[in-house]
Amino acid sequence: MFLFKPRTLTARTGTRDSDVEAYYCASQYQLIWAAFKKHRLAMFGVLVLTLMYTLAIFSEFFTPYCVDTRFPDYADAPPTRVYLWSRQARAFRPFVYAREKQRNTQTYRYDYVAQTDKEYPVHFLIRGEPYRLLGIIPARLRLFGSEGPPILLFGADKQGRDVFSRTIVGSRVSLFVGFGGVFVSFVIGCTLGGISGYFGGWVDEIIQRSVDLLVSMPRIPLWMTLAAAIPKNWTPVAMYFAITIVLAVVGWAGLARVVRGKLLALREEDYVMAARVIGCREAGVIAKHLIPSFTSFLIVHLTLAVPHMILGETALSFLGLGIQPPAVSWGVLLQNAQNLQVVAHQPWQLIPVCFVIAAVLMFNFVGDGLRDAADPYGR
Amino acid sequence: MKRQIIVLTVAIIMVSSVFAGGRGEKPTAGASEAAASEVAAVTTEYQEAPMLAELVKAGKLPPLEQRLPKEPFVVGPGVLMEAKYLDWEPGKYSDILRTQHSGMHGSDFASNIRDGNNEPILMAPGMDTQGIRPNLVSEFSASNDNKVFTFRIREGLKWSDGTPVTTDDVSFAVQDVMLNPKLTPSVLPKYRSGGKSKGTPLKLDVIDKYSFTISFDEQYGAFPAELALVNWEGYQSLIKPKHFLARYHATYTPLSEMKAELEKANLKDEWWVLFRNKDVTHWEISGRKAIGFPALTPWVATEDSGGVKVFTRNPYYFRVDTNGKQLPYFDYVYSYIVQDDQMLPMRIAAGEVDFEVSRMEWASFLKENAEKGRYTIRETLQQTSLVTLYLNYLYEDATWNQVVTDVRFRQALDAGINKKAIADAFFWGSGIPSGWTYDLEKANRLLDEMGMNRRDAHGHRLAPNGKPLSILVEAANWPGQDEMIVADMQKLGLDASLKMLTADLRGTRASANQLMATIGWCHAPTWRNGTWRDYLPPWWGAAVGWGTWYTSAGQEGSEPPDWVKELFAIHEDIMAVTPYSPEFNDAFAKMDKWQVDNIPYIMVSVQPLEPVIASKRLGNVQHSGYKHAGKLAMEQLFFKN
Repeated sequence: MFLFKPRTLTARTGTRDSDVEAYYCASQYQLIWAAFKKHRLAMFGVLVLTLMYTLAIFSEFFTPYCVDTRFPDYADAPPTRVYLWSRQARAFRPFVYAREKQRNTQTYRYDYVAQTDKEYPVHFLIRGEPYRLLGIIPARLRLFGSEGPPILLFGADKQGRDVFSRTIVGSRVSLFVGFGGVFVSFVIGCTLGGISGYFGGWVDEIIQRSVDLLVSMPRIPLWMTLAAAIPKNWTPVAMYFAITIVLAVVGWAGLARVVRGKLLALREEDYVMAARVIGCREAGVIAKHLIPSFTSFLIVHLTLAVPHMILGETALSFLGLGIQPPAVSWGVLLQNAQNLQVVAHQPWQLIPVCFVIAAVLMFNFVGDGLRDAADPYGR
Repeated sequence: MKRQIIVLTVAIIMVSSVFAGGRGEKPTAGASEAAASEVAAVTTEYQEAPMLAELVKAGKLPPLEQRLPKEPFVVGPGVLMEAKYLDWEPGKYSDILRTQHSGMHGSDFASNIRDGNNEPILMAPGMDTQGIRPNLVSEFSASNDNKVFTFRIREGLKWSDGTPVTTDDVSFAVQDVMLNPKLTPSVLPKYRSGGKSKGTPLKLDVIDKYSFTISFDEQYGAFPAELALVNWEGYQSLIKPKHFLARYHATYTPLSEMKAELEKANLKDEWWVLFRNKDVTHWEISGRKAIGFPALTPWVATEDSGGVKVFTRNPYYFRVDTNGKQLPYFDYVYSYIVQDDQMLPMRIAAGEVDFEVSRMEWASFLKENAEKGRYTIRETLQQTSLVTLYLNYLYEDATWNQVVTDVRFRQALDAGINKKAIADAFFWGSGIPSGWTYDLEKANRLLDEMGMNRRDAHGHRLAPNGKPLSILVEAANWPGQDEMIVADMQKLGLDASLKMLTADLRGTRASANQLMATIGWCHAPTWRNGTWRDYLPPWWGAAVGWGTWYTSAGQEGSEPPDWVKELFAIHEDIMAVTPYSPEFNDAFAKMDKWQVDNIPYIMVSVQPLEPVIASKRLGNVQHSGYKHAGKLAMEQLFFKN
């Protein structure tokens, strides 16, 4: 991301002159990074996002069970209470109780009653269900788990599957589909916007009218139409990429327009004429000189586009048009929870919503921070 | 002295009027059992609903005596539903019964109204065929050899527009519609001798204005059951309003007179298509086309707009209660269409529904809101094996065919699908087939024994011929249960996957024999009651060719193997005999054994509970039993206050 290793600008000692000199000698990225670090919310966002992406990449390690492991005796069970102080061992030894499913004929609900006679300690770094780390390396090491009763941090769904495991593993799809979509829309948007802004004339007209068309259509119905055209019998991976393309097809329009605007302003600059005089080709002028001049803006745009993609995928899957079960994403989890029984009686199955909100919010914080920091010379 | 004479005279008159009043129905010879459900009316002083009395006063409607038949059908305790399920009481006239329907069977189909409006020629209490007695007819008898059936239409029975019902209407329905090849390309096995697809079609003999006989060449003991209950079929195949439909029939109306209507329907001279558009069959009585069509049902369709179907009482309905009140009690029945399934329980919770059959998976939510919504919940039985896994024996894939025709494969699935987990998750623990246990070890052993012990790189079992086998299950209802079934199949090592379709698409693919496996339902727990004969193929698309082979008497379709031909033979045994006779019990014993030996499909949820929601004000609601019996008897519902 940064082409130069940023020199620290917060020199503790040194004369005012050397600080000022450092400031004027600093590269663009160093300035951005320094300003960004001061933005507390943005740093917090970076922290949370790093955590979320680590969890996503190594999701099987952090979760005790696979996404389709069922515990029929714990169907629709509320989250397991983890007790920290063990009376039996008189120490801080986290443990859980087994729970018995009892039918409540008055309310037509199952009550899960903790069996307090036996404590089942929570073990860390245990050998759990087998999985493939990063999809390649077979492994069995899991961060935590318990022998005996399942430890369901976010409770279970109707089929007895652990919501926590499904949420974390599902974050992989939700968080990374954003990148794919953003990357594709970025490439298309920059290219078309660049061509449009640089050349002007009828090329500009055609491209901008198509942008108009796309922007004028309501986004969600457009997504739905495109997603519904994807054959349902594709494998989950193929569907995933198709959804990425669908999201990108709509996303490039906004970027193209802005890139065009910037280029229209910048192409009259002296350095562009200088580049042309030297003999740069048109494409080279656009790519090597014009676009890098507003890279900071592009970075900000990218950061703010990712949550749109995340929300888009969640919305599509929630409506049943995106990722299909048995593949898991936050949208799929929420789709399973979209009935009034769940909202009324099993609200823990809606916890993926918090993850969606957190991811989008953090991206927005980072984007905010970047936007504030991105134009340091403008201060 | 004078005073004493007057008192004595009045007393004699009062006493004699009690004994002279409503004689009730005469038992008929040859009927399967003495009709124990008959009741006598307390009085011949019939009463009508206030809204009809007003119309009579205004001169818009003939008086009640001219609208009721000479001998109305009397409804009392144990008549429409067995006394053990319903504490019957005579009711009061009430205004509007609100119910609802989802788009599950199509947006023009309101299931509650269709069932509540069901009116058969013969009937038996509840959802059964014990104690069959005349309903629309006043007399009915079967010859000793079960070949000739004699009926007498109720004298004075009238269509909902006031036209009398006579044997002309029966003759029209049979000779001009059922036996007319343009309107009925092939007569259903139901109306053929012995109920067999190869049997000769029925023969109708009109005796006089009200009496007629239907005769067959072979004994057909199940014919009364077919008329009373099977397929929830009403009178509509045998009695049609000739005065209304004749003008769309080429035998009675020259094509030139039909031209305007034909053009409106974009037809040239295909009058039979126009006829079918205008005719309302028993399945269509809740649809839009029933508006304006003469009927014999308790309510008639009057409006369908703004998302609600309105049905108004039929002023010529032939039933009264024990107090002489003409039924139904409710003036109107409204059925609201609900687009999203989730809205069904929400509307109930909001108190906007007076009568409805809901789902057990919403029971906790409904129970919570029962006070606020002012309704009660009663646990009743669903009459089907509601979730049944069907494997298509005729799917064109040799590997699949080899696997699915091995009975051990079906036995393995039967033992390896966790029916208890599905029952617990969706039906409050009910619906587990009796005598079943979840035996994963047995299932795996059976699959190994039949040659599926080798696995591929993913751990999926290979077919006995060594090739990989991918099983695609396509279903349209109950996504949660379907997912669990497919997951259980995967647990057995099969490469199974699920695809959910819309009901229409599934039906199309089923008819085209494109489904490998599907999930539907059958009436296994209530076959004996005479509900449906869906033990016969096409089995939801899993044996379409065999079904066609049977109904076309071998002309089309694919010839089934011997074990299925056995089923057809058992079926014909059942059709030949009277319901609940010793021969009937023998035939069903054979059927039970055949099901256990062959496991043609895997029944997962059998006769689960279903909650009947009824407003607290509603009277004559069953407290237990089959929910469908309650739906068929909606004309006796009323508001207590």
